Amino acid sequence: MSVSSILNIAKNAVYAFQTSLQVTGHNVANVSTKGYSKKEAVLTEATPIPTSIGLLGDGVRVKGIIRYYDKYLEDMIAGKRTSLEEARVKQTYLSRIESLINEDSSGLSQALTDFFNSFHEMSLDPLSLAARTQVLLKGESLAGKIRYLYENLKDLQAEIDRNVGLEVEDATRILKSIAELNVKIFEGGLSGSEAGDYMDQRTELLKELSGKLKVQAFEDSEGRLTILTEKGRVLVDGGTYLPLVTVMDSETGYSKVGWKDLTGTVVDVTSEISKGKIKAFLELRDSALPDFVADLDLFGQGLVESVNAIHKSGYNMNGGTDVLFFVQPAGGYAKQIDVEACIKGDVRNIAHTSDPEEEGGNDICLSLANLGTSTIPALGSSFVDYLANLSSKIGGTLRAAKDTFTFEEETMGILEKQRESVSGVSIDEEMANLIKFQYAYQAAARLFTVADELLKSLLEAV
Amino acid sequence: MRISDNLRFNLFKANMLKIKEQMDKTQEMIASGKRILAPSDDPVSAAQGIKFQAELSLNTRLKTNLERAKMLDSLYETALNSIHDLLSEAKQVAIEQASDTMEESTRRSSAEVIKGIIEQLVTIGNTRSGETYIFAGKKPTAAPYTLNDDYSATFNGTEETNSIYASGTQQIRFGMSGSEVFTDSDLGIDVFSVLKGLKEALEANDREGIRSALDGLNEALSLTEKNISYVGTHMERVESMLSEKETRDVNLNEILSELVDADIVSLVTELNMLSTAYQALLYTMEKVKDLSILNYLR
Repeated sequence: MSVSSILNIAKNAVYAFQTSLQVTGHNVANVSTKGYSKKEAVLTEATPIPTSIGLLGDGVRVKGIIRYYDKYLEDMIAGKRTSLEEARVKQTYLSRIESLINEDSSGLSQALTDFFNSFHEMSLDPLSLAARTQVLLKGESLAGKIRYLYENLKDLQAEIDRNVGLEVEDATRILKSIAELNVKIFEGGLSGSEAGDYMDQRTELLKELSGKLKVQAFEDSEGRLTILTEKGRVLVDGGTYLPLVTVMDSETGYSKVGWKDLTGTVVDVTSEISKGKIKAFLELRDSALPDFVADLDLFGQGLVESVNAIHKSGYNMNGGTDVLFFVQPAGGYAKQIDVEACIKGDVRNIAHTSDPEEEGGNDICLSLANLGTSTIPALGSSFVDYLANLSSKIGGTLRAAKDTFTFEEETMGILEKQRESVSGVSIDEEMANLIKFQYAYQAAARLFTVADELLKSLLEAV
Repeated sequence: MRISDNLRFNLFKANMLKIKEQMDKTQEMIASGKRILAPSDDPVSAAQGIKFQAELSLNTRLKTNLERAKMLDSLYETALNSIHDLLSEAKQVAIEQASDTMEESTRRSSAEVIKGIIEQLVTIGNTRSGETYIFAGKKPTAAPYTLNDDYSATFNGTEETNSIYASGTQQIRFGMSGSEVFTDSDLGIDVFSVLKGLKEALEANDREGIRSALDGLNEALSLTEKNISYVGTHMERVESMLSEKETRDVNLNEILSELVDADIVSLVTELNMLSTAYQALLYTMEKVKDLSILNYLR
């Protein structure tokens, strides 16, 4: 017990409160930093010194910096992120499909009714070239709208495919960063404000990665994060990472997701991804969009085949018969649907009568007009009903996706709130701490003066 | 629960966005006047909307069909009335000339009147509407009647006529063939040969021939009257179908409006409520923002 030990206590206290002030400042500075967890300098009583009168306190020490962090909560957020991002992508892209199929923009059912109505007009005066030209124009317009919708759906499919590539690329970037942070955290030791900040960054990256695909993650005893795919393939282990890559599927021309193992061999893991943004993109590209394209194809097929079957049987103004109205496409109906060139060249080639003797007959026009309301066997319903069902199909799918997204977003909101209440920075709280530490610092500084005066009076006494 | 600054601002932001999104949607509904902006707003009603819209288009189309049928009927009506007048005139001539007191010369000159009537009937038989010969059946591009040198007439059209759709499933006749206007094979009537017979009887000063032609003329007149009443009935039917279509038109528009149109009054009320909520939110934020320890630290 000496005056110098008082100086020592003062020195340690000043150091401790300075640290506390710095950590408080760090907290305030990061009040808006995404993924930041509030830090605190933990102060502890210094080991007491044994003296003749017993153990005597030796001031304060900084034990370390802790993060306000709930691991369970962070894991839940990472997991939730997977389903939230999946729902978000589905909602966004199904909305895009809806806006394409929506009658207001596609005008498909209007074009369809117009087309069949033009046969009604032609039935009034089967030999009128004006009425025939209308049939041609409405036919071309309908075919054009089907092709346009097909192209748009295909474009969207290609865009989604590019997104798969971008997401996979981004996932690999994250894996690389996590591996690098693992090294920094390992080297920096587990305590200290710096390691805590690295951990915050890594948690944020893990959440981002979880948004893309479902992963399993756990920390080892040294604080390094190991990340596995849901099927147990290693993505990050300590300082090394195994990248995800895209592989072109030669059959479809679209990207598949590959995983490069230690030997550099790429394994196709596309089917192993069951959740997340990448899964949503894969599902839209390989299931939802092809489904709508197939529906459109069937519609095109029903149209081409039913109109052609009747048209072929009739005679036209040039006396010809066995003429097709729509081109019989070699490949997809929706892709290639168009009015026959000979009809485009001469509207007299549109058939109107089943009896070549009755040059002014209109029975073929009537049969064609009637197609507009009759049940088409290939579709199982009328054309209009088929389009109405298509519209309600995308509407229903999107609505379900929107509901899922709202639900996921709300759950995420609750989790984020909880996280914020654990790890978030409150300026008021920090300010209170600031004042507390400031006073403590001033008091400790005062101790220097006291010790100084004590020493001075001792020296003067000599 | 600790409320961090982030949480406070995020909550404010989230609430603001939520209200803004609702306001945006409401505004869009008011501007477009539609309750359903996309199928996902109400998949079932959207699908029904498409079906009813298609039915409305078809209904409008069928109305045009019926109007054209009505127009054509009035052409037939005019033509048939003229035929009736001409036949009555021929009958008058026949009655006069059948009298025992008539001389050969008057009968011969009357034959000229009948020739004129035959010529006019051929002209009526070749009436056109636009490019179409209305009595030609299914051969509308060529004149259905040719007048021969001996004042007989040859029919070149077809007996059958076209039909058109008057509803989704029902067809109505669209046109009359000359064959049913000037001949009736069941009763063995042929207007042109009756007139030709009359003309020849007059020329030959054959009183019996004139008398028997008179019988034929009576039958021809009753055939024409039957046809006039047929056209009248047809026209009435077309008109009643037309008014059905008009009613359906109104109905469909009502149904569509119920399905997809927005209730502007309630939407405007909703918009007002939203804007009040928005103002309240801004007000509370203003208040909450001031509640910071920083305002008390100097």
